[in-house]
Amino acid sequence: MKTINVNVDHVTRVEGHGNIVVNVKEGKIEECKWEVVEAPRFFEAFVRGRTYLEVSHITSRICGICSIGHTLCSLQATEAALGVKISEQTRLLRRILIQGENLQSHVLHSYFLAAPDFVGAPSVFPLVKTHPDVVVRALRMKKLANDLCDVFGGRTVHPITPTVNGFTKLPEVKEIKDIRKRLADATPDLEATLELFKSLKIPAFERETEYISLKSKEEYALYDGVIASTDAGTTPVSNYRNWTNEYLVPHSTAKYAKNVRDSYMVGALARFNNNHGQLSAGAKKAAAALGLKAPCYNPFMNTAVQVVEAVHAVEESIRLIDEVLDKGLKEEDRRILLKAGRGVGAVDVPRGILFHDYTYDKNGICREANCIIPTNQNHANIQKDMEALLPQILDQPQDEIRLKLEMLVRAYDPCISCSTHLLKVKFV
Amino acid sequence: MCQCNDPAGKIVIIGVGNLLLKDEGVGVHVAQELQKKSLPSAVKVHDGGLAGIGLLDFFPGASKVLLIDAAEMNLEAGAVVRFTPEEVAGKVSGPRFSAHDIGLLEVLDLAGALGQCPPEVVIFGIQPKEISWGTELSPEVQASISKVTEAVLREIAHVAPNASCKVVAKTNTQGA
Repeated sequence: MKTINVNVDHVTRVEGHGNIVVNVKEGKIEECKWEVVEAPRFFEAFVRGRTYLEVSHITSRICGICSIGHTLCSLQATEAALGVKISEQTRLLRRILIQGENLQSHVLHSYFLAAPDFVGAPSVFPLVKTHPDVVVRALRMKKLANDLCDVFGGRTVHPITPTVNGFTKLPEVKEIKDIRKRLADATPDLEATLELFKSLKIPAFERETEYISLKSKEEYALYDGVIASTDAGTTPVSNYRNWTNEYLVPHSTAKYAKNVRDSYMVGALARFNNNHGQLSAGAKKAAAALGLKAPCYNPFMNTAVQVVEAVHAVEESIRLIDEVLDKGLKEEDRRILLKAGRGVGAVDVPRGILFHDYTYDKNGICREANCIIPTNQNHANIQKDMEALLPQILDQPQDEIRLKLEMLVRAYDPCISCSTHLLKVKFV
Repeated sequence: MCQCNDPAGKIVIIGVGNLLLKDEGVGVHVAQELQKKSLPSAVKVHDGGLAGIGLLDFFPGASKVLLIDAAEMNLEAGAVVRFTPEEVAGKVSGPRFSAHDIGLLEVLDLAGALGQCPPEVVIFGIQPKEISWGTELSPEVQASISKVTEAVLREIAHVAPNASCKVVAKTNTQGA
C-alpha cells in the first residue's frame, strides 16, 4: 500500500502563506489540510476615526490587484451609510473601471500564474525564452487594462479620481476615444489568448458546491446587484453577514465562511454559474470554445472562466464607453449632507464577491468597519475540494499529487496576505 | 529613443510598498515627499504602491530608474543602502514569484528578459523595523525619509532644472 507525504510549505505563485499538508499511510488518508497562516488584518483599525472622504483611499491600499474593487466597494458602503444616491454618470464610469480591473487581474493570473502549470514550467521566466510572443502579448493586454483604469480612475492602481458621490476629475473625450480604439484593436490578442487556453489541458475533477456572486437584472454583475446563490436564491447585500457566516478553524488563522453547505465558492466560476446568460456575445463564444457549460463544477475551470471574462471585459467596456460618448460627460455637484448611519457595499472583484460595511457618526467620521474579502470565503471550499480530489489521484506519483493540489489552490487565484513584497537582501 | 535636453535622459523615480503595513510602505512615503518638491521636468516621480508587474509601464523612455523600497538587510532600522540589481544578484532570498502579483526584482528580471529594462537601475533599500498592519512608520524609518530624499536628490542633481524629455518612440525592443 502506498505512503505519501506532501508538505508544501508556502505554495508558490500564491500570495502570502498557504500550506498544503497531506499524509497518506498504507493507502489510508490520515491528513489532508489547506493551512492558511496570516496575521489578522485589523481593517477596522485602519479606517476607524477617518473621515468619509479618506476611507476609500486607505482601503485601496489593501491590495494592488483589487485596489479598484476595494475603492468602489468602500465608496458604495460610505454612500449607503450617508444616504447618497449616485448619478447614472458616476455609476456608468465605475462600471467601466471594474471591467478594467477584471481585465488587469485575469490577464495576470491566467498568463503569468496559472499558465506555467499547464506547460510544466516553474514560472513565467522560462516562457520568456520559449514563448516570447505569448509573454509580450500578455504584457500588451495588461498594459491595455492598466491604461483603461488610468483613464477612468486617474491611476493604473490605487485610483485617485473616484470619490464619494462622483469623480474629482472626469476623463477627457480624446483619451476615452483613444482607449476605445485600443480595446477594439485587441480582438486578435483575445483570439490568440483563447487559442492558447483551448490547447491547455485542464484536470478533470468535479465537486458540486454552492456558488455565490452578485446578480443583476441589467447585466453580468460586477459593480452592483443582489447576492445570489445557486442553493439559496437571492438576498440584499445588507444581509451579507447571514450568508457569509465567518468562523475560525484550528489549523488556520484566516477566517472561513459558509452558507447553506459546509463551504461555498466565489470568483469567476461562481459568477459564470450564476450569470452566464448575461455574458457578451464574444464571451459566450469563448466559453463554448473552452468547453464551459453552466453549471460547471470543476474548480480548475476557474482559470478558463477568467479568460472568458477577459473577453467580456473588453466587449463590455466598449459598450459602456459608447454610452459615455453618446451621453457626454458633465461636471456634477458632489456635495452631500452628512448624517450618521451604517451602510454595506458589495462588488464582485476578480477573486469574487467583496463586502465593506461602515458605520459613520453625524460628522462623517467612521466609527465601525468590517470587510470580508473573497479569498477568505473560498478557504473552506479549497479544503473540501482537496478532500474530494486526493482520493481520486492517490494512484499517481507523489510529485504529480503535489502539483495537482498546488494547481487546485492556484486555480482559486487566492490572495492570502495582501500584499507584502519585501526585498530580503543579504549583503556579504 | 528618448530625446532630452539633458544627456541623462528621463529619470523615473518610483516608491513602492504597502502603506497599510507600517514600514513596508516607506517607499511610497518617500515618493509622496518627493512629489511635493520642485524637480526638473525630465524627472518623473511615481507612487508605485502595489503596482507589481504594472511597474513595467513606468519604464519606457527612461534612461535611469530609481526605485525606493523597504528591504530586509539585517541592518539597523532606518538604515539606507544604495545598490543596483546586479550588486545583489544571488543575494536575494525569499520565494520568487511567490505573490499572485510579483516582486520588485522579478519585475526587473522580466523587463531584462524581454529587453525592456532601463539602461540604469538604482535601488534605495530602507531597513524596516516593523512590518505589521498599521499606517504609521516606526520613528527610525520615519527619520530615514529625509535621508533617502536627500540621497535621491543628489542622484538627480546633474539634471538641469529646465531639462525636459520628449519621448518620440519607445526606447526598447520587444521580445528576444
